[in-house]
Amino acid sequence: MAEQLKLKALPREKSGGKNPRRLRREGLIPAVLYHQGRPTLSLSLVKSGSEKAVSALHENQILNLEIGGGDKADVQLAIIKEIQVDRIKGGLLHIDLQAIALDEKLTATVPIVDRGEAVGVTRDGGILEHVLREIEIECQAALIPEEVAMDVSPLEIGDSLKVSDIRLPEEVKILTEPELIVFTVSPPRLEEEPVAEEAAAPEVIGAEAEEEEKPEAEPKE
Amino acid sequence: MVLMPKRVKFRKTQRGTIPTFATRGATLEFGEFGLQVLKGGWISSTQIEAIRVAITRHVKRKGKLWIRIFPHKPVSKKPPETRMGKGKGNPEYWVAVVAPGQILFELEGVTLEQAREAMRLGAFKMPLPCRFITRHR
Repeated sequence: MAEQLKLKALPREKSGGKNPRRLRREGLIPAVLYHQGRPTLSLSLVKSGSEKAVSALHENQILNLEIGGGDKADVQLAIIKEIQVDRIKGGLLHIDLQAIALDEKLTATVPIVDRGEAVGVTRDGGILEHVLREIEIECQAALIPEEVAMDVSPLEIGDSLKVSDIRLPEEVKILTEPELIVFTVSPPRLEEEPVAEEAAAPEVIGAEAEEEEKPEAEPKE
Repeated sequence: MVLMPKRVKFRKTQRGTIPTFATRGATLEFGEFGLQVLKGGWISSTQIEAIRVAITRHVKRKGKLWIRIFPHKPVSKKPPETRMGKGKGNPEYWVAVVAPGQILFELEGVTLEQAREAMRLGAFKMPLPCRFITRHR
């Protein structure tokens, strides 16, 4: 089960345009809180004091939000639905949150990770291919796992693990198709380095049609 | 093996502009490790091939490599000592236009250290600054 992280959040009055950029400069993270049956709330999460925790945020993490300051602070449980990251600088751009109750049933996408070293890789030099990296599950918010681990150590060359091989508690229902392959060990590649070929010019689409038309025009000269 | 399209609609193209930021192809989709470009520019087919060879030689053909870019764009050049005019030069080579943040290569089935070293060696062949990335942020 994912642990709950306490974070302070401030209501955000101005949204769009340069405002989110200004907030990021001040050390805040723009966020939005979706709440079933209630209007959506624009927030800014406070980074200070929990810099490490904020940088380690991940999807499906449950947050204990303290919205507003002082005595009027409202406490709300929320789950992270999406994190937008700056692909070059690596900072957090925006977080989508969804208000939840711990006993509420949710669908979530959970990453699959491998445990151990496959026999086919260590002994026979095969390649472990991670075909499916995430599965969709349905369960109570409190039971959403951080990741799903699969033991790949018994896999030999040609063997594979399917979604149906994933073992989860009974309360967690897997929605992904059970026949899909998650891990497979393929044989080592024996291909040789390709020999440099003479670079030929590519065929131009429609060039043939033009050439056929030309001879008809030439005899007129 | 020089990469180039099999069929094209036009033999020569204009230079065009380089996108300011990659909106597609900026996340790891296939492998565990990747090489991400930090500046926009052109990468020629020979450079792509040189990077591929450097990476595959280091990992000794273990693992699986994905090339996420393809040189679709022809670059023309006028022969030396030619007077200006008389039309555009002939296509000389092919380039892939890349935007900052784009993933160029992805690797799987090797250890972190092997992948990091392979990508470092591959990055020496790059005309643009780039960095090694992994799936875990």
